[in-house]
Amino acid sequence: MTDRPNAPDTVLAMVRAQLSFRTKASHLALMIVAVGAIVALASILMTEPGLPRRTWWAMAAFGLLNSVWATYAGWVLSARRTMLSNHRVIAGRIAVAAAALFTLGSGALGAATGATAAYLAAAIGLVLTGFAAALLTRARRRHWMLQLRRDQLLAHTQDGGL
Amino acid sequence: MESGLSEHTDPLAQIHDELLVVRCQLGEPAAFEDIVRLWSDRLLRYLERIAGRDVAEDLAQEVWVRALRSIIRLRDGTKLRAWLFGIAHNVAMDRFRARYAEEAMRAAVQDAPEPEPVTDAEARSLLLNEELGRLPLIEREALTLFHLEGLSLAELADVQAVPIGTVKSRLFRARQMLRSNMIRGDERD
Repeated sequence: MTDRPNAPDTVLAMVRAQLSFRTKASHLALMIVAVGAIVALASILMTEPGLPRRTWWAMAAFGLLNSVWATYAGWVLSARRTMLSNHRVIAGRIAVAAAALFTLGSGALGAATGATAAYLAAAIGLVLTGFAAALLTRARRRHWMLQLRRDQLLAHTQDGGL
Repeated sequence: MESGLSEHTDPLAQIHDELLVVRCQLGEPAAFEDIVRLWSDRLLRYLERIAGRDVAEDLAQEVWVRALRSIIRLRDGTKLRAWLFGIAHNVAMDRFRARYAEEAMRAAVQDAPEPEPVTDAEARSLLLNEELGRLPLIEREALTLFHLEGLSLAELADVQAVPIGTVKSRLFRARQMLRSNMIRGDERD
């Protein structure tokens, strides 16, 4: 075997970079902001029939652009950056908090201004909050099951086997 | 070369493998470091034998990237060894399909430095290594994984994505070829 002192170190450096939540947080934030923008724009477009045609198309194009960013961020998080169990729980909590905040903000804006778009955005935000909560529940359940299995296996190793 | 048809059945080793996988899936950084330290050399050695030393380190990096991304989906942690070698197999095959012809692989083997034996035992060991490198890819991989890395027949079948019967045929053929090559090598000496 040749001398390869740096091969595991190189791999370990790559592993540490991949596991860092900071590398995922920026894409998570991008996805949250993009989805929020899509919801807001869609609400306005659906409830404001009096918008000038150019304004309507410009806002639709902006919504499409945000869809592309949201898709890109989702692809990075699912395929390019490993989301392990602990990170899925963290990401779920962030998503629930962001969706809830968006919902409350839209609802408050609707109550203050009476704008239909704001109420519609709040309704969509409520759906998104429910969806995020379901994902968080699943992530927490999976995380708990893994912890349980880890503790069982640790007990087996301490006992010396099956 | 003796055949080793017994399965890998050490329950404690399987528990350790599954525990490592579960800890990785939970997101414990130390677990990944443990896996890398345990398997890095073996995977690199396998890739050197299959693909050659000039590309083995690049392929090893790709193996670990894929392993890191897909470990969350590994449902049976006791299959860690076959899973890792399966990824290495796929990475090597992808590289071959993309960049290398069969002639390039034989050329890489022929470029390997000639051994300089000191003792008869060492001479035989080096001859064995050289002749193993001359085998066709599939047979070389089967012998490497079964006899050198200690995978069971079932694990080898998972890695190569073929039935166990096919694995047995490949191993039989590989041993026949290696035996013939070794005899010819002894006659040359």
